[in-house]
Amino acid sequence: MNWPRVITGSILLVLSIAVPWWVALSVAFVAAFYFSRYVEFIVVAFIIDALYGAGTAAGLGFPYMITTAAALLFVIVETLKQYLIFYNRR
Amino acid sequence: MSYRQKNRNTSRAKIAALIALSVLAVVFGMHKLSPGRLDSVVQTVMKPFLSLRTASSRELASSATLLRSKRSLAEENARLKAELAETKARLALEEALQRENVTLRGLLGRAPRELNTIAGAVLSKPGFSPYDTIVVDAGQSDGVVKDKLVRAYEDVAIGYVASVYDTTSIVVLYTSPGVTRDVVIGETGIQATITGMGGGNFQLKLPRDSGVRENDTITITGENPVVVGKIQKIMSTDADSFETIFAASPVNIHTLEYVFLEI
Repeated sequence: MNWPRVITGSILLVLSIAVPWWVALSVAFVAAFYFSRYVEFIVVAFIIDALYGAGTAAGLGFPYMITTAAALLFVIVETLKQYLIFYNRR
Repeated sequence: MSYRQKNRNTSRAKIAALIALSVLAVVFGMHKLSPGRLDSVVQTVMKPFLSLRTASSRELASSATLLRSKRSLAEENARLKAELAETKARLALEEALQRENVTLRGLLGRAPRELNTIAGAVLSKPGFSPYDTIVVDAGQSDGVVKDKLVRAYEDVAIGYVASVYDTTSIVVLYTSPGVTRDVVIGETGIQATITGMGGGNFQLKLPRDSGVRENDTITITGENPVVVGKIQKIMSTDADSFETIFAASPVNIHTLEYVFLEI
């Protein structure tokens, strides 16, 4: 079991409630660079949307706006990793 | 066997895209098939932790006063006493005016309808939300209904119920960016539409020389009229045929602990 990943995921779960949304997402974004295929980033974004987003009423008529943005960033981060020597050496 | 670097990295991006699309498909699929079901589960699971966070921050705030000097506390005490005396005087006048209003409306055969409201504790304030919403600990089981008005201090409207779950509700504020609401301005009785700008502020546009003034109240009319905001600043140039009016909610949302939801 990848304990650092489990612990980071647990911390993010706590952060999604304890701190403003942008702090939790920023930490998740950094973790997405450290861990491989860090799906937890999208999960945290979904939790934030489900807690605070109001379906189509909030987010200017588009539901799960933060989740969609996180999914897009997830793909971008994974694609970026191929251009970073740090990851190609692993 | 060794693989070409390019193929390995291309497949990495493809796998990431596949994972992302799968997650989005599940989320949007569930939203389409059973709207609000996933959100309801998250709300139910997270509610105790939200309550714990709210209680903790309240304790922390009251503990912070222990670090302040006696002198600053005494000065703040005197200032608050003076504010309270002034507010009490204004309240007495408003109560008298309200009684007169009810009597006059009764004479016209339009007595105000009895308002049914339920109090809900604010579990999460706009600073934590990316959508300028608040989470309240009253839901379907308490009789909360979607789209009903939400008030602070019973006399000030702050928003409406956008989503209702079993024991919680999400309230969208009228000051949330992009939210609009039809209102009436002050003594002029001009009808206008306010647009939320975030941070407790609204904006509206009216023709120049409309007669509105700074400090005019903005109300939502109905059987029980309720205040929504107050005009702060009016801006226009000679070239404009419209004036831009900036208003703010009289309530500081960030200090609210309870709200009243109409049921």
